[in-house]
Amino acid sequence: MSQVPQHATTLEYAEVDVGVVDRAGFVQQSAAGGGVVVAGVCPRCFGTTATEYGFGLPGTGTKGGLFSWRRQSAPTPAPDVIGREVHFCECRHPHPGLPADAPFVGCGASWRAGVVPVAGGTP
Amino acid sequence: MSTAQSDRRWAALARELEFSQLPELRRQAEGWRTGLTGLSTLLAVLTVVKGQEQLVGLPEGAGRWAMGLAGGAFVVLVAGALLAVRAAHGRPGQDILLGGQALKEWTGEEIKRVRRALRWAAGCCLLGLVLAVSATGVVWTAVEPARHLVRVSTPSAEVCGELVKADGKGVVVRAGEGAERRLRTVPQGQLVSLAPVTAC
Repeated sequence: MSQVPQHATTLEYAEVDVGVVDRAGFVQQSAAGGGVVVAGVCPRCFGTTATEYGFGLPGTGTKGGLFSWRRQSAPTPAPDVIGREVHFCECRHPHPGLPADAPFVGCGASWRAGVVPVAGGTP
Repeated sequence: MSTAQSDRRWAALARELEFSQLPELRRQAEGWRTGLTGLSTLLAVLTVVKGQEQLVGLPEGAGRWAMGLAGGAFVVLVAGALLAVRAAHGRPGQDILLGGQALKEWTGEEIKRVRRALRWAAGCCLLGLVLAVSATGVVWTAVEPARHLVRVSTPSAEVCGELVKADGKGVVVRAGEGAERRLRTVPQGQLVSLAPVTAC
């Protein structure tokens, strides 16, 4: 059983794209307000990260036809948020060099989650 | 801009939207209110003030044509106006997941939808104008049956209507409207005056 390294809290903030990491390390749960929470371990600083995605008005307009607000329904179930979204470290630890206006409080890493082929195994 | 930077900007934008939901909704509502108020005012003026005054007096066939064309123009112009409001202010409806990639996909789709709505709105406006001009053309060119209206006075009464016949015996006038329309004969002896008029 592999052991997760300790949270590198002294790691400098850097906007680094880590690439594709194994999605098995992340879980998608329903949030209290109807949104979705994706949680896991940051592949750069190894801190526990959790990002909440809410449902909301995206701006001026939404999907559908002109009169489709008549069939008002609950938001459709969230698709595969883990595989679809680009994730950002939100370990909530203010890493050294964290910009004051950074929208994501963490080490600055970003990654996509997917199926990572095991070296030497079948694809 | 690299893909990673672009993804970061989309995610930051989606995060920002979480905090501007109410102002965004209010802005959309204001846009729709303005559009619908303008439309309602225009329709009220057209229907209440203008009404059917132009159709009165037209031959039946031309009247039906003008009515049909004007009705078509009305419907098409309303649809065009609604499409234009939808393109300008969006459509109140379902929410989306506020994630960077979801927002990016939605934006791409919304751009296509707004362009399509604008194209349809322009088409509806053009078609509405053509129909409205056609309706006006029908009204203007409709040949009203020649009516020789006269006012005939006798010592006891006046009769106004279409002159049918005048001879040594008297004057025959078709008076009244609709079911009341009938021939009235004024004997020569009772005739005081006979004058052409433009309307009864």
